[in-house]
Amino acid sequence: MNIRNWLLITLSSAVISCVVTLYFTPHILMAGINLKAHISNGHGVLSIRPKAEAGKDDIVRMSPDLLYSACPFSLAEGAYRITSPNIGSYLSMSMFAHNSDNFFAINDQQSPQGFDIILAKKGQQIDLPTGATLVETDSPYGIILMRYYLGDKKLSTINKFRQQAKCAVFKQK
Amino acid sequence: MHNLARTMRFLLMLIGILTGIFIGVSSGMWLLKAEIANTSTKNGAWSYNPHVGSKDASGLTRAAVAVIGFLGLAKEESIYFIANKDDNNDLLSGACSYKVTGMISPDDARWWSITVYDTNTNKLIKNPQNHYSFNGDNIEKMQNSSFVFHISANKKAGNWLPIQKDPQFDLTLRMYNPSKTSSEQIATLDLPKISKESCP
Repeated sequence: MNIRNWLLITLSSAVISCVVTLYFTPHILMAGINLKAHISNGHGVLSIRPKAEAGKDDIVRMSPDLLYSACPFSLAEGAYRITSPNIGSYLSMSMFAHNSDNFFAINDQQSPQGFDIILAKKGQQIDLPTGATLVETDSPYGIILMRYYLGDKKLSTINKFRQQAKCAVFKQK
Repeated sequence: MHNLARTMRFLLMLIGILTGIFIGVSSGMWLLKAEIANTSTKNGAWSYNPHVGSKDASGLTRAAVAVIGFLGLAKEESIYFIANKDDNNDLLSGACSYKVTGMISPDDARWWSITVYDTNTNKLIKNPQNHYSFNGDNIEKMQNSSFVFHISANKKAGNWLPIQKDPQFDLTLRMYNPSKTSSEQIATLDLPKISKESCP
């Protein structure tokens, strides 16, 4: 291999890597989360993550004042139903598309009776349960994130509520 | 002999590809950091990026935001400020100690927190106390509801956030459920002051 060919290969891979970094970072990060979820628990499982701690924070800039529960979704498996009681302090549920867009967010003050959300593919026929809210998206996969404010409360107090939250494929009657 | 030449050719090609990937990713990250700086609003030592959590960001801005605020929320739900310099425009360094003073009332936001991160990794900084942040409920406040806390590698009296001597660090201020005034007047909000106390 002569030096010209070597430089051409190096330059080409540099340009391709730079473009991928510039435009596909969110897609790569989100695909990574989904792949990890698929290998460990699968989609439609709400994982209760431990309190953020140095060396154990796998996502950038996790807040140690929040407790996170995450549910990766893949709408190829059907619609999802996510329910959660309120905790008496800040709680939010947010949904992120495959390109990391935050397409939906709701907090405890906007839904004082707790959350009951159906997430479905745009245009999908859904027999909406009484009291539930329908959220539609074009995104084939992504992640649902619950944030619980810890404040000065005990971890065990918030965890009791976290364990009552559910995220699963919605089975229509 | 023929096999050796082929192996050498393959190794050279592999080195070329890996060198290219390293250069490409490094320059991409550098450009993303420049994009963050270009699209951020300044308020004293703090900067705010309106594209965190926004659906309207371009591909490039969205990638830049993913580096500093992956899975961040839109400003109606939370405002995120980042400071990597003090009020004198000097980079925050683990070798120095700092004092942060301010007052954030429930009229400004439902709750707030300030967290220390390693600037290079965007992760929490290891410390024996496992203490990385203060929030409006766990910080000891003065009678007028203002607060003071110290950031240093060596223990300080009062509210203290431990860091390591080496890394360059930055602070993230989160204001959840901000008031309409807070989310509309981001550039002029009265945010905490960051002053250097001592440096070796």
